[in-house]
Amino acid sequence: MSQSSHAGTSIRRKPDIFGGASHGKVGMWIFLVTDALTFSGLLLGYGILRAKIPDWPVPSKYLGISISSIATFLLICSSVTMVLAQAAGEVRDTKKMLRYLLLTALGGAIFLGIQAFEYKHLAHAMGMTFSEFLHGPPQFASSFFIVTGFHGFHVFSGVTYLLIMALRTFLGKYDDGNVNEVEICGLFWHFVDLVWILVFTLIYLI
Amino acid sequence: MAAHVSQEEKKKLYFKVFFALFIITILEVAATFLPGHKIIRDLIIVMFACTKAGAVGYYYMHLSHETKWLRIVAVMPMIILLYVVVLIPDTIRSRPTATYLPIRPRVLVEHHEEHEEAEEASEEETTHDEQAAPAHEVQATGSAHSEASAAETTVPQAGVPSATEAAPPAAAAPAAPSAPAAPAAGGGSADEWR
Repeated sequence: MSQSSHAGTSIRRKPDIFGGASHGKVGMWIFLVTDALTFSGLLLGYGILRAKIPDWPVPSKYLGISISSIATFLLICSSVTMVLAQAAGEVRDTKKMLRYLLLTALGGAIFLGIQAFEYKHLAHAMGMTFSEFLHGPPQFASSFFIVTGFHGFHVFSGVTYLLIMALRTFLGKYDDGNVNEVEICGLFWHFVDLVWILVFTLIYLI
Repeated sequence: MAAHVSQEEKKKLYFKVFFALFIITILEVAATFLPGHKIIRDLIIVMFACTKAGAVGYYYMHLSHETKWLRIVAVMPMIILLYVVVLIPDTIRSRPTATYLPIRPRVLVEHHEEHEEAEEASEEETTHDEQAAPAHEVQATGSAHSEASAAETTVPQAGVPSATEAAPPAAAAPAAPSAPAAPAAGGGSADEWR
């Protein structure tokens, strides 16, 4: 087993300051840094709006915490299946890897479904649109939709990415135990999960 | 990657982290119901969230196996905290500036569009130096101030439609005619419309 788990590292370059991490991995990390800064900008803008508007509503009063908690739980679960997929791929168990990848994508898809349901509910029950809110400053609705919508778009991209990876697994591209590409996909997916943890806290709970 | 760690140990670790994340999420949601000061509660919740984010980064994104330099790249976005430090005093000093207009019939919005533009134009001129001044001060010294500053007053006085006399329409900037979504400014005239 230990021999096959070595195979997962075969694409590595000779050690440098990044310890021989593949170009793709370093590239993905740099992309994630830029993406994280984009999210920080949005969240910062949200914070300033909220600090400056005196009658900002209590989010938990209007946004459903229970349903978004379920969504959070789902994303955490899909993160676990993602690492398990990678672990399975390292020991050349591609069948298991494919199953875990599809499960991960399914988790993301259900998350998107929950979000769509939530948006619909908020639009009908709370009068929330991109520029209007029935019970308070419209900035509450705008900032909510832009932050969660931007994240939701990341989930959508992630699901697409995962499905492509699943297809490649199905076609036997990773039969040799070299799962570097799956690991890079995992980085993106975990990042989406990480961002949701922060968004959930800052937008819904606080 | 730790090639020496067996597959079972790895999985065990992943599940341990998962349970930690799960428990912290429950604690986090439970913390929102805690009594006490809101700021302390919020700090606790944010601390929980940062712990979770750190755990995902460290274990699931395998930063535990990466070199120092890749970790430094990974925490680079924390630079934004510097910007936060810069913005906090500015935000506190100038609050509260923004007011909102309640949802109202569109017809009225179009009718008062001209005022809107005039007000916006005048407000743009004065925003920078007048923001810090409390509303009552502006009102008390309203006559001494320019007409434009009277329009900015957030608390409208009954019977004194300050917006009507302030800022002649000639000063109106060539704003877009589709302004109805914009009126986040000029709370002074909100009451007149109702």
